[in-house]
Amino acid sequence: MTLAQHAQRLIDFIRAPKEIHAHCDIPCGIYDPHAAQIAALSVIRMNQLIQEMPKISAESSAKDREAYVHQLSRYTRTKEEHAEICKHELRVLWGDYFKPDHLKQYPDLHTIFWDAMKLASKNRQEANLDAANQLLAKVQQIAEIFWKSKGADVRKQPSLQNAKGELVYPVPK
Amino acid sequence: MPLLERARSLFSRTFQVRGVSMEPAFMEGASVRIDPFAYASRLPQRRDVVSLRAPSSPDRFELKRIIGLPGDSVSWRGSDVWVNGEPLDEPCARTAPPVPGESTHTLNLGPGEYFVAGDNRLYSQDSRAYGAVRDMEITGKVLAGHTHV
Repeated sequence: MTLAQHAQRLIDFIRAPKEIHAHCDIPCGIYDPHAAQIAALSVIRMNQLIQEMPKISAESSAKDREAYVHQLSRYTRTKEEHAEICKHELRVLWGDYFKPDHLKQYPDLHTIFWDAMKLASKNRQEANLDAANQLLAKVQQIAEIFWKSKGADVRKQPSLQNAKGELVYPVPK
Repeated sequence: MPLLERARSLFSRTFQVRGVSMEPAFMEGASVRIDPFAYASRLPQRRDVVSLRAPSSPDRFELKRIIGLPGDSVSWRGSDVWVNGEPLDEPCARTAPPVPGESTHTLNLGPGEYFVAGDNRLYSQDSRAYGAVRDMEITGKVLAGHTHV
């Protein structure tokens, strides 16, 4: 190990947090793509609400403009939060659940996850209903792979939420 | 305590353990002292308890035990671990019988690569999930005698 590496180690140590972690994200072996789907659905719903907002114009009153900005801020913030939740859930599946063995059966796995992460970022950056629908479709694809990798069949069924859309559920064989 | 260790302990730092993956040796809430220079003059040894950068979140430090050394072939099935084909004697580990049908995985460690695991094997996110850790990711060693609440 070089002197520079030792110096880096010391700097890391001095700046380190006071806690040291000895846990896993969740009790090991328990993973589920449902949370990622719900997050993607929430992003869709926020985009729908943004699109449905009554528009303001130069003639709008100060009160209407204030209400518009306030509501738009809330929808945008929630959209970003759920896009980030979706990314987090995908990271856990990608990094913790899926193993090199899965690549033999699903050789496009990395590309699918990479696309999903990029879409989630796009949904943070933009108010874009098309991108939100694409994100849900990509997460559904991951959910299908996930459940099939556990030996289950899958079915899509309507979410029964205001956002519409479908969710992927496992069906034991 | 030898003079060198005494001097090094001046640079050690106390951390509080969060989580259960190193129980029963390190209970949640316990304080541990970490020596950042422990590996300045020697390499990590099997069964050392080390701090390392969490692979999924490099600004977070984790506490794990070294199981496999560079050049080792480490296999695991559930919570059971073999090193170079031999079951590891792990008096500190909490393990459980493997789930029927669970497959065996093997990781061959290259130069500078280590296999780390939590003692509480059923509740640990470790090399079984994120693979080998590089020597550069190991940030220190728990000082002997500073291991419990």
